[in-house]
Amino acid sequence: MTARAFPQKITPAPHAFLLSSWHILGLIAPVALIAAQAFGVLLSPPDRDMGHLQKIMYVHVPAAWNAFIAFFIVFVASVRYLWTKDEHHDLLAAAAAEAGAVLTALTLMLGSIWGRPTWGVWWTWDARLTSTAVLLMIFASYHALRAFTEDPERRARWSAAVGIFGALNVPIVYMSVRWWRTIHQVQSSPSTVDPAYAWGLRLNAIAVLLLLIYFVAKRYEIARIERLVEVHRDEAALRSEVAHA
Amino acid sequence: MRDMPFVIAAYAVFWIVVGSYAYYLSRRIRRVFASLMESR
Repeated sequence: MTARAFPQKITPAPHAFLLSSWHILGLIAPVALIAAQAFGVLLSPPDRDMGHLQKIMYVHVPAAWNAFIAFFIVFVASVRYLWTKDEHHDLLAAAAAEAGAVLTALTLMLGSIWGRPTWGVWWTWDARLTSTAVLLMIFASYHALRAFTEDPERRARWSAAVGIFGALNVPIVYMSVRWWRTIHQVQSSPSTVDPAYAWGLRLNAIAVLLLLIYFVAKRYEIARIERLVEVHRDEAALRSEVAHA
Repeated sequence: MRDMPFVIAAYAVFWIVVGSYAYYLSRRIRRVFASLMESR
């Protein structure tokens, strides 16, 4: 199948929709983040063992959770693409994969900053850390694959396969602290942390979720318009070929 | 209190990464709109 025959459903991005909805979310998300971080940092007491280092949890854990949500979107969108062949699902998967990779990289950086004073090292080949690094590598290769594959249908099909494979790694990352002997503590959640920290964690997770939605929506619009430009160029090339024939 | 530099570093890294990605998306959406207008 050629690039020209493929993306018939791609439509121009609705500018008014972008300017209203996503711009508003782009304002709400940072305000929600500042409020949630202020709540967590200023109102929660220092931890008995970790002291003020516990406050890193309010950025590290929500980044990790929302990376997992992003990869779940990749999984669903990739499966739907393979099922329906509607290119919009492929573009959504690519958008979520990029935002998920950014949040995974952020999770590793923040974990490293927490690990240095707690474990005495910036990095160790622990099961949780290593499986998270593998997850990041899979999604880095996902983007490399998209960048180097020109044929849109092949790009979408291969990306869907890598996206599904990468997303299937998420449960391994999540369960790694229970399946293997690791120095990373068990999963932090409102049910496993002290009640004094539960609301701070919830609010920060919601704020980062708003940010994730904003990133995915904006990146999805970019992907749609880029694809449309590609289609226009292919059509122009075809018209030029016909005119010269 | 001796751990505070690590806490400050973590929040600084968070905002730098998030801010940089938001800036990158804004630049890219402007560029891609320009390409769209050009391609029509």
